[in-house]
Amino acid sequence: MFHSINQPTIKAWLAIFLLLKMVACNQPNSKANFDQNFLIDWNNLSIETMKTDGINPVLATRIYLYPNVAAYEVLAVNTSSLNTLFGKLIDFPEIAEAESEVNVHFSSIVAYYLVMKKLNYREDVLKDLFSIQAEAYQNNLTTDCYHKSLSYGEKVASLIWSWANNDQYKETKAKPYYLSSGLPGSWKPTPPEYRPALEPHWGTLRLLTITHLDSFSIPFEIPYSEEVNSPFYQLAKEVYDSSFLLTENQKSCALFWDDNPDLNNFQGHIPISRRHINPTAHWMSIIGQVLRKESLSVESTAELYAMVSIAFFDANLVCWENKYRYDLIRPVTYIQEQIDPYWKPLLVTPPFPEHTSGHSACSAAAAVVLTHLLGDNYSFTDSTHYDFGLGVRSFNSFEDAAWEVSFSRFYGGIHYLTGVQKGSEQGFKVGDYIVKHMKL
Amino acid sequence: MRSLSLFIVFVLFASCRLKNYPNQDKYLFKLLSGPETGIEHVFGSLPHSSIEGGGVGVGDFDLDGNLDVFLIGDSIHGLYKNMGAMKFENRIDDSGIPSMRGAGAVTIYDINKDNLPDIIIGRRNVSNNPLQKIINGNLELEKLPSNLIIYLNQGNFEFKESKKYQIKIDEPVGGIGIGDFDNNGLLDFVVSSWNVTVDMFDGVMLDFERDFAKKSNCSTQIYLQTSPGVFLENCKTSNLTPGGRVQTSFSNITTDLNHDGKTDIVLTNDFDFPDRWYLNKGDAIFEDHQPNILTMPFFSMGVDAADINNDALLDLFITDMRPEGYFRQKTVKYDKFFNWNSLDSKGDLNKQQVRNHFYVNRGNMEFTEIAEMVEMDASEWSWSVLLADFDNNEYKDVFISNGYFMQSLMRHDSPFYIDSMSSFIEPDKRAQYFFGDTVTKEYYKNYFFSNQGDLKFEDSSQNWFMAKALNTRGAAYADLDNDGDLDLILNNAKQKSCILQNTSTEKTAANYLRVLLRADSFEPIHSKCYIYYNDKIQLNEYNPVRGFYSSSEPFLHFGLGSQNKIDSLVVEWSNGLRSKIISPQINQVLTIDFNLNNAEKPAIKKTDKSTLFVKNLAIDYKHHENYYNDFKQNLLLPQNLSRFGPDLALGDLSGNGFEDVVIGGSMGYPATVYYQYSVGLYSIDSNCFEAEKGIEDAGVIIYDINEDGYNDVFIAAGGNEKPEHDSVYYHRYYLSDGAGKFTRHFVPSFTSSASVVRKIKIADKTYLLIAGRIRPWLYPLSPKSYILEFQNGKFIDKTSQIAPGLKNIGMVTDVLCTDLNQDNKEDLILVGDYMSPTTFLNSGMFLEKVEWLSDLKEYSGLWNCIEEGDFNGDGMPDFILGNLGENTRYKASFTYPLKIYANDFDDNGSLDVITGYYDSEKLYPIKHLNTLKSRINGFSKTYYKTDVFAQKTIHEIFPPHMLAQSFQAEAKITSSICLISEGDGAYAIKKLPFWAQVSNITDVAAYDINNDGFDDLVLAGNYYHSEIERGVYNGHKGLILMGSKTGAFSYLFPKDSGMWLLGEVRKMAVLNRETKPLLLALKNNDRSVCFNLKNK
Repeated sequence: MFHSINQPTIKAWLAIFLLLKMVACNQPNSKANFDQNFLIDWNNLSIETMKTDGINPVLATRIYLYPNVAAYEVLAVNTSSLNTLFGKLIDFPEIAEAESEVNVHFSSIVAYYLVMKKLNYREDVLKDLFSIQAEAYQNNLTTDCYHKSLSYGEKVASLIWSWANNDQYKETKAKPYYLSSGLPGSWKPTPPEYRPALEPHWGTLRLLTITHLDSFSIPFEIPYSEEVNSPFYQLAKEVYDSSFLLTENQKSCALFWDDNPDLNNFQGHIPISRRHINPTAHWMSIIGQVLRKESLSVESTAELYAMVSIAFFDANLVCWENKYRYDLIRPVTYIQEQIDPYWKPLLVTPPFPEHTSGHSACSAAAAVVLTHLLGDNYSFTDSTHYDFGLGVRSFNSFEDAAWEVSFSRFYGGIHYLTGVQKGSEQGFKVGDYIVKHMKL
Repeated sequence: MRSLSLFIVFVLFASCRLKNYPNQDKYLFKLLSGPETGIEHVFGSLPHSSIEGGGVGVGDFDLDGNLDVFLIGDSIHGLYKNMGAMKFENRIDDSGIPSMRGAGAVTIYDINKDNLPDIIIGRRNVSNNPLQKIINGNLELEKLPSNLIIYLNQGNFEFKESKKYQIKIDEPVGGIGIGDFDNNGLLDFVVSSWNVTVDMFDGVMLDFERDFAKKSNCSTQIYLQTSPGVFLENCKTSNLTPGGRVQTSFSNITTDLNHDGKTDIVLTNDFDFPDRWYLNKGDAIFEDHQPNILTMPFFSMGVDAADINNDALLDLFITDMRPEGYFRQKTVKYDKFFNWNSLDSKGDLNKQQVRNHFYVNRGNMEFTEIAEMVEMDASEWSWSVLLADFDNNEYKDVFISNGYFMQSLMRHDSPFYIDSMSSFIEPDKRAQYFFGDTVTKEYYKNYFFSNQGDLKFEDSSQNWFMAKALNTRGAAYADLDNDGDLDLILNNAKQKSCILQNTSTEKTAANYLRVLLRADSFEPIHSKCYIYYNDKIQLNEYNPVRGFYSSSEPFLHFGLGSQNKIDSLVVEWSNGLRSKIISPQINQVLTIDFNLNNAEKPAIKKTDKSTLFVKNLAIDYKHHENYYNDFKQNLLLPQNLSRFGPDLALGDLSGNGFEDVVIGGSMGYPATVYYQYSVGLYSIDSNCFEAEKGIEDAGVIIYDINEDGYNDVFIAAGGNEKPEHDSVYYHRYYLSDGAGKFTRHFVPSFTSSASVVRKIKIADKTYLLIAGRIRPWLYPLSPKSYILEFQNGKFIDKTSQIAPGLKNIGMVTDVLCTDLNQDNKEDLILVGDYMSPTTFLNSGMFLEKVEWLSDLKEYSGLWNCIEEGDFNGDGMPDFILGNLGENTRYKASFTYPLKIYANDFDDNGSLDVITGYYDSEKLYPIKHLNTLKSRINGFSKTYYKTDVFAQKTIHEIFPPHMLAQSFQAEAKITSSICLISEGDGAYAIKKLPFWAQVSNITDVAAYDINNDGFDDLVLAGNYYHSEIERGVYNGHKGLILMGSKTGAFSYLFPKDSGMWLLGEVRKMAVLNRETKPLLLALKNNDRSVCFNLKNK
């Protein structure tokens, strides 16, 4: 479990000293642990705004990453029990320790808020939550401490945002507009909306931990063919055939992990738009539920969020680069052209190429990190979709859940078996790498 | 003139009450209420009525001389007997026409030839498709034997469903078109069908059409009556829907588009399916003319056909859904543009635009579409359109009905973006979101555009009737009170139907003539009636089914204004015969019965060959444009920048005394030489410049570069396919040895993407000007233009010495070398993109950037060309400057110019181009938010709510300091103009007339065609590759303007001259001016065309 318990004595004393440093900054009758859930509240707010805005899964990885990294690093630099990200994440800046008289919990909240403000569309809603939490700190800290903590948080936020802003995201806007190449077997926009390709240049963003992207890339090796007996045809046929044999459990599994954030349903000229959660946010929701149960310290909470966000981001980037490298046609396109023009998958095919499955890869990477931090066979119940009539689902371990996610994409009719298998494989590899690299 | 107040919004409840409206004296139309007329019909009083409402049918059912009215209801219809004086009595109860759900269209016509008009009803909303399920809840609509039901008039307002005349149609029936398509004397039907059995969406047009064809079984049918009562479904043999029986058609119009006496069909198709224009080749075999119609409405609803400009050709108007005003255009989801995937590998054209389309018939099945030019493109969600002369001023006006529930539904961030909690609303609760009373209903005024003649229209919506917001669907016109002017009957959705009583004849004493055509031995429908008076002509086609789901009066109504005499009236009967009446009496109803005694076979028209230009195949050049999609590299561009070729040069290359032609090739295609070996005879050589075919050729010139007595060739490079400084932008020249051998050299020291090259003599030295067109991948930053001198075997850049002002002069498109100030020295005028015409005067040593006409500097525009001629015959040169034209929604004026800015607004290393225009005196971005979001970082976050974006001007969206530091330019005028000399060096600057402004002009050829001492000009243009927001410029078909002493131009239209210049013409030249003049017009990616300029 947590390393702090097993630290050598000196480190333990240092920790206590630092803790005293913080405590010294509090007011005499401040409540202990009043801020234990603050970070969870932030990430849950993030989930809610993502739902309302229909944030796409790729962008979500970035929106989760940087604020959590900021919050974590404030703590890590000032807490011996946590490892700094400097030297671990590529190009990450070196952050100086806080002076005394700083409550690093508050600073970490400040840092989260300020970085989040740069990324999240709903500044007013963020401001509201921050006001509530800041007020709580105000009631529990001396005025001097409050202001110094605020100022330290601002400093760290600014350094981290500077680093974040250089990740080549804005440069993707300058890249050529992606159009289907039209070659046989290449990706084409899919029904019902035939939307343009999502984030085709995401693969050019700066990775966090991986230096050799190619070693995580998984090729698609089945040659494209329209012949009935060819392996490619069989691959698609597998999707088609199984769509008629789905059990109720498999169907609910597909719907449970659909996580499609922006669907438009047109009834004649009347559009009904549904904005909803995305895969990244779904896992964040799971983590939120787990954390509320576990009642971990602020430091451990921050670590959990940060490490999972890092895993998500890198796994997603690797996967996205793969998608556009292989530019593979989606099952719905191939099946409608070659097998059955009336066939529709259970889920709406999201607007990007097939190989590999993003949800599978990211879920696998997240599962590896969560397992490492919370243990094997950590059983949990996920009620993310309870309010939407999809019930709850229980899992014996994070890895089980990750496996279920990958199969759900196959049941949903939006991936070939290779896509989900290789996606999981990719994700597990990234997760393992991150655990090792971050020395978790 | 568009009215400044855009719309009126009322919140009304489902059962509104229209009281008597006082104070309507100032309006042309008096809105009569239910109690006044007795018409208390409401369509949509039931909870689950159809969205598109119902039609209106007009006919004199009891032959008492008063036109009666039939109104489609969502259950019970209205059958109103006209009692006279605008009083009506509902006779539906004993009529025999039952109540029914799902009815939409009505057509009135005498089917069984007993002189009694019959009623034909179509049911569209009958199926259980997803849309209907939402609307109907779980209400199952009754299934009838057919969705097209014919009720025969028994007299006395009794009708009986016909057993004999039955067409069994299972599919939903929309508009019911009628005509005799195979000319067998029996009435046939064409039925629009719109049935969605799969989820509808705004998909990629081409893929969607193919996909949908496999999935749907909806279709549009033609039914030929082979013998009385026997109808043959004839879709396949008629070739009606090539590639699949798939349409999403609400309406259709049957009309004779090409005046060959055979009835053609235009089907309006909602959503991605293009409208269909079917040309009847005879025997009801149709040819799909749709691929030739390059721009059409996206969500086509209603359609009407009539002669709007009184040139005896039938024009067309089709309605769509564009809202009015900048804010609504940017926020209403259905002012949406064609899916970007259309910018795809096939380089496809922007065929469908969300706006009304107004097609003026040019003859020869060519149409110029001008809705944006005359500002009739945006009338909100429009349904019916009726073209009729309401104010009797001799010109047909335009009435458009519109309305929808909950326009707010359409907004990007309307309440209908269901938040995550409510995404699982049970289907039967959804209906209340659409039609429930708690939801704000927004209605917009119906539109009237009054026609002043010469295609000038005024928005008379505010002063022709009291601006009551009505949710109108079907509409029909009829003279209900027999006073000689046309009244309107409106079938409103969820409101009472109403009558607009026309007070023209009361108020204006305008004259009129009403004609009724009857025939027993054949179907007189589509017979045409012409009246001739005072060198004018008016045409009406007998065609009652027009607009949307409706059938207007059978009379042919002619407004005569103050004309009190008609010279003659001619009827071209639909059976091919012709009747003529001399001096018919006006201000009456003239019934003309077909009678073999007064009909004759028309004489075969002798075409007057003397004005016809004859094609010459001497040069038949096929230009190939390489496919390159500039938008892919930069979505913010206003147009594709790599398709401006080809250019040509004239000169004696072979040295045989005859003028040769060199034509540049696009990237991957070599330049071509046409050697003239005998007068007017050419041989082609496309090999001599093969090695450099990888260059996109721009300007070409033939002259003796190295002064060795042999003419050489210089070809400048152009295009936008690669970034700046790439080797594809090297300019080159070929030195001739006089024996047919060329040695190629590159101009070594610089590259550029050029437009034209010119030679100019300064102090006895010949210099070469290479005009810069763009900086590749850096539009609109100013490129360099160069002046070169050939010295010691190579070209030296002498720009700084000779013409320093030329360096970054702008994006030059054309240059004219001519003596401007009468000092016998060649001067220069340059025109360009977002540039003012700029002059350089030859001082004898240099070219000085000096004003020549002081007013010209104000005329910044999107100029394409400049040409000179002597149009007023005064011996001084006049000039024509070709511009974008006026057929655009983005208007420019001196106070409110078009603007362009360029800067890296989001600091990501790429140049962002922002084009702007003024709407209601504020400067807004042209590009849609989605485009800006995908290209400029930070927009998604700042403008996640579209209406926040739509309220901001360019200066509010972009930081002022960044704008101030940006590259910027403007265009104050988009009209093409002429500079006509007035003597003593003075010039009058005038706009070219209307027909010159219907599209962009890319080149002009000046020549005295009729040898009267005044130069005439041939103009051409068109451009198919602009941004999605603009669509296609395709208005020019080949126009000649004839010069005169006053400098005023008169028209010679292609239908009279035979000089059709269709497609995208880039450059024209007069070949062999002295000996055998030919006009050569080069087109982009198409075959050239060549005409003899002197007949005989």
